[in-house]
Amino acid sequence: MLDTSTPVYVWIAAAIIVAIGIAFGFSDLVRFSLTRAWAIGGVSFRESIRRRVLWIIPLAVIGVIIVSQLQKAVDERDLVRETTKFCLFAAGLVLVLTSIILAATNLPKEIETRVIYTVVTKPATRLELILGKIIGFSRVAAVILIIMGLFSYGYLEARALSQESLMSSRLATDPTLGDAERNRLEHFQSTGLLTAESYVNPDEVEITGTLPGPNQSMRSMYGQGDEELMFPFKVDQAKMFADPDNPDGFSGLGGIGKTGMLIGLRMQWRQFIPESAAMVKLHLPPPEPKLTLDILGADRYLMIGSTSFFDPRYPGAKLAHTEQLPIPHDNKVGSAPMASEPIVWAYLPPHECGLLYNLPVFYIHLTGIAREIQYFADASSAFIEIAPEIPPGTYAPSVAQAEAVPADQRIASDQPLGRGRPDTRGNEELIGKKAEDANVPYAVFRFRNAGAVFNRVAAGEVPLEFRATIQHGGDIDADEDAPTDAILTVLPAGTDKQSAPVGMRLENQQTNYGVLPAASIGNGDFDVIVRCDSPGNVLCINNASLSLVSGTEPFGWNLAKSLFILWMLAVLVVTIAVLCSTFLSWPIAVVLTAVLLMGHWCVTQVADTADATLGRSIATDMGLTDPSKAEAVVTSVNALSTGLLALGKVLPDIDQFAAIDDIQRGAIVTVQTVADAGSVLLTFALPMAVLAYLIMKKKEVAP
Amino acid sequence: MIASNNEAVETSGLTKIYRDFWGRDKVRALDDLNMTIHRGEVFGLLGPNGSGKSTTIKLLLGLIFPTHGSASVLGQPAGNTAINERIGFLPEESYLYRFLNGEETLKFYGRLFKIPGRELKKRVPALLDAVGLDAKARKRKLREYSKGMARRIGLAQALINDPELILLDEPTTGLDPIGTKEMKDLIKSLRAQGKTVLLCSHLLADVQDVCDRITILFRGKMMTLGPVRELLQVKDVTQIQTRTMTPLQIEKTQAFLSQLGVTDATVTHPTTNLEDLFLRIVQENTPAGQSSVGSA
Repeated sequence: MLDTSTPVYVWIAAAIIVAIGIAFGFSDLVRFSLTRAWAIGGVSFRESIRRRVLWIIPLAVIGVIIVSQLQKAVDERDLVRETTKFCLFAAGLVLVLTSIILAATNLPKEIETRVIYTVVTKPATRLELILGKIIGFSRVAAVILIIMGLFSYGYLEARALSQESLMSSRLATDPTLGDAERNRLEHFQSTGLLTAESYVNPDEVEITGTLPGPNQSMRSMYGQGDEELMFPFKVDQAKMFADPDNPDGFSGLGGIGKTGMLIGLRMQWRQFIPESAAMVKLHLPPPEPKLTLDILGADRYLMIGSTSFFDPRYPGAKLAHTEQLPIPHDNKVGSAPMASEPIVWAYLPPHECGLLYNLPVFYIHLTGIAREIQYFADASSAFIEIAPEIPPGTYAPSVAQAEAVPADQRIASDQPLGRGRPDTRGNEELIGKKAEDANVPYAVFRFRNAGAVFNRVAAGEVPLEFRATIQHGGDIDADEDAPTDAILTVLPAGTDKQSAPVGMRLENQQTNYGVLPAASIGNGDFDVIVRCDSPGNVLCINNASLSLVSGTEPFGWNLAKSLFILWMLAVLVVTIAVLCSTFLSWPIAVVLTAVLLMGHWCVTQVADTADATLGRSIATDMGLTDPSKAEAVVTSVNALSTGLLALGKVLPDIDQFAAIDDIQRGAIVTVQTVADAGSVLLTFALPMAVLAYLIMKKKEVAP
Repeated sequence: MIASNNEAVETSGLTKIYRDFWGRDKVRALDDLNMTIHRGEVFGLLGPNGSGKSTTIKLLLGLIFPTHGSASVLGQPAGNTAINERIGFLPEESYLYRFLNGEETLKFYGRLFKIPGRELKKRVPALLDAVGLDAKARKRKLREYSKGMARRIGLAQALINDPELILLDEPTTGLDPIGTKEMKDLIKSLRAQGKTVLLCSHLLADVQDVCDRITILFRGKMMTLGPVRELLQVKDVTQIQTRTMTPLQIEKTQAFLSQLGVTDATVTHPTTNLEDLFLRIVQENTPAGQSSVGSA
């Protein structure tokens, strides 16, 4: 059975409403005749067609053609895919608008003009009337989609053919084609531009200075800030926060618990030889191993900056005042075992802890300071403990207090993750280094349980797509016009047997195509290791930069699935509109339908900022010192936030009708995607149809 | 309340009060209506505008719900969907789908009765013939129909299911005198077939011509109920009718009545009504085999 994204309580609520509908309308259910419902739907359908609703389609078609001619595509395939997006967007827009207007206006107008007299005085039940309307307008939506689908398919085929002809001509006659571009064009020629492929994306990408290997849990980063380490902590409210329910614990600052949180770090490091002779000549003093510490939220964006921490060594001082965290020399690799003390401490006060209270996970985030230092860490290198009570007049517990907490009360992190320095778009930077260089960073794309999907790939190769933004790092010796190369290897999990390296010449912000040896993929647990082989260049990558192609499907079938998802959206829209039209005049029904459709999205947008920790943040920002006032603000804001979140849960999530996302990137629309849309349709449209029926049953249709 | 088998319609204390947004009484459209319509009779519901006639029909059809009291139709509570299988309803105006043509309209309503397609193919043309819509009119959209044609197609949809009880709300509105006569003839033929007709009108002549019994409503209340002949009988006037008389015969008749003590007798030629005059002229000028509806 498919696991849909619709929460269980939505299914339960839907079932309750349907059960109520059955209880109150059992006689009508028994009498239900599809013939009558279909006849009522037929009239609505015929009325829509004869009112020339379909005339809107040529307008949409002209719009698509104009916009697609004006587009600036990255490459030939992107051009076709962007056109696909325009076609589906236009189809969806036409569909939703016509569905809302037709369905929301129909019943009120039939009541107003009294045409409904001649229908409800026949043996048609109100159930048949409501379902008939939904059927009728869903049929209109289907006709619109069929016409738009046929146009889209024909237009896209024509565009693809024209682009393929241009590509052939360029490959045959253009002597200026670079290797990367030629490779791309040849790939497009062999696979066609209108493709539908299934992709497997990595579970995780890390950038680390230590290659993964068997039983290798250690991660490392270099000190120049090019790499970073993140220690994930799943939030356990009972264990991590002291006395969270005690009102006194707000401390007048809107925080959580009476006391804050102590973070202990136990890193190892090593010094390596400066990479350039010029640096040696400077006769710089030996670098000090230092770190900056901050906390990232569940989305891995900065949540608590380094200046928010206090330093237990100097209980009145902020951490920043001591110029970051110095790591004791005893922790140097080879001179001290990982399990031993000493520990570096940082203290997070209660009002900052409050920000973490409702997160599912947060990350302790470390960046190295000293250029010639490599830092090492594993899961035991960072932990958290509830801080002891602070003596009056101090801002943080002392080191002695921190160390007095029994070791068994410490909360360990999960396996740490390495990552590159984030760029402005949230990508991670992978610095270009030659294999023989001393401090080579690697991007490790981690695939787990991905075996079964590759069974369809024959010929011993797994096609891959790699996309990155290439930056020139400002290296004095680097040639900005030089091509950018990446070296890829596959490493089966738990082994150190890397596959033969595969080289790829990359184009900036283009999808680059290559293959990996299928043999190394084994049972589906493997890492793809990427090294940028062009010093001075930086690859900006993220989790989606590397995709492995596991299967293909005819484009037409993929388009049909996308259109089917759009049709399901139309059925939902029609049902909401019909429900609204049972108790409102048509202009208000149109507006309310639009509001209900967009409601989940709007509430989600607000709720993203108004999460359950917002109250504490506001109380803190207001500088409230009176605990009762702070609590009042926290309670009010949290109630509002909770209300919005609850409201969002009872509104349909139209993001689940993902008709465009997959097909516009050439991906196969999965059965799961269709099922997600279907489950939203089922859990919202069905109860809404029942509510519409119950309202109509009790409604006097004579004005 | 369940009516006995002999009663087509029965109401008991039927009351409808329209309320405003705040639930306060606004209009008492029908007040404590108690009446019975027997099977097989043509029953007239009379009254001026706003007297509660249409409200009564809407209550019987379940278009609105009573505030107090109850009504039964063909032995079932009013508004029961199943009973609609045996009812035909012609509303005050022909509230039909204007973008359908005559044939499509009847087929649509026929499907609501789940009449099989084969049967509909026979019944639809027969009904269109019966209400006087020719082949050309059948293919025209209803929005192009004249008021009279709309009434005819409205009547046809009311009869599509061969109903036992037919509710006609102002059936002659918009019809010319020929159409009016045809409508009245049709009502009479329905009675002859044993069907019950509830006729709601404020055109008294129409009601008088076809109804067996009537009730008169005024401001929501029932004023009177009984057989038409009985209610219309003028008991303090005697009328003697004969073929035309010469002036001498008239003079002698008046003298004779005077001898009998009848001093206020008048002897004149009776006048026909305008409807009869109109019908006679049109019938005399309509070529054989042609309809009197529409332009030549």
